Amino acid sequence: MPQARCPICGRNVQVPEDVLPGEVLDHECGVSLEVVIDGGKILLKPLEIGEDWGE
Amino acid sequence: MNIALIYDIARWEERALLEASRKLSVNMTPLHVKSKVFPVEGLRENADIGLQRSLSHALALSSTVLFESSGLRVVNTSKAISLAQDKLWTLTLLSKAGIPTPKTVVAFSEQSAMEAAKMIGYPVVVKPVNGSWGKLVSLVEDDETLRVILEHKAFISNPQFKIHLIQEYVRKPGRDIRVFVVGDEVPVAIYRVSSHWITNTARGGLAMPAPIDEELGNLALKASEALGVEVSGIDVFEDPERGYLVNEINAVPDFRNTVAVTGYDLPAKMVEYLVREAKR
Ligand SMILES: [Zn+2]
Repeated sequence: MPQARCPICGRNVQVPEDVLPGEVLDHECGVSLEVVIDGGKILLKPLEIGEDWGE
Repeated sequence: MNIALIYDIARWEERALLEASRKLSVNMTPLHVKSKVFPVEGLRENADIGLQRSLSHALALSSTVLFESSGLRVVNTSKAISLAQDKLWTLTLLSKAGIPTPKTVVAFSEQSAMEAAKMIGYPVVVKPVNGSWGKLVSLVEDDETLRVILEHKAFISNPQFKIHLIQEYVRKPGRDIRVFVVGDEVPVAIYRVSSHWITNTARGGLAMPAPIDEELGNLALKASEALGVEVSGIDVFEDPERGYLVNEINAVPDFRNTVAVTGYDLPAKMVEYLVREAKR
């Protein structure tokens, strides 16, 4: 399973094999992370809720 | 058969749709709109049909327009999405179709908003024309509070927020109903229960299975037809005197809570609909 670093707590985050760009992963430190795939590299950034998101 | 799953943020819903497709042996390709560059003539995707799931209203509408431009059939259509995103447009179309809605007045200035609230009678609900997840929706009890809210809104530079929808506060029984429509079927509904007056489950409302009587089913179909949405979540209030009132229509509905409390396989229902439509 690929791993990436949590930008908030610095610990490892387990990333599913079939992870999708834009996927939301909830980390054990309580933060929701958005997966960004940049040139095949998996990066994580804190999920920022957009002003126009949602129903 | 290949279905494009058009999305910006992948949540439980998008995973569930991919899983449902896999179980039905239907190809579904996730298509992350933020990872792509779109020529205006559209992006030719190797897909027979697309399902729009973008959370961002702006992205959902623009990317649907672009995919349609390339000849891809997208559910919902750009037209249906733009109608559903605009609460004022939605209410006018519902009202034209003879569908009961909460009494609503529109005001383009603070003064007219004050007047509108008097017309409707306090308490009133004040909301923006294009809002989401119940953001910037206020329940207002009197003139004084309304003035404060309007003054606060005057500091938001977005001109969209200068259009005020002033709506009667429907004395619903501590819950509202979310009805799902897929094509010409009304497969499942939930109550959203809350002691808070905004019953949106994204705001902490509790979901419970709700029965669909004939009247509710027909109303939901009529409402979705009025906007031309094919897959939608329709928000219905129960008024003690007037019965069902349609309040909003969501063209990219959340359904995690619905599946959790009803056990109904809504993602499979949506995939089956897309397959049928692609073959037409
Ligand atoms: Zn963390």
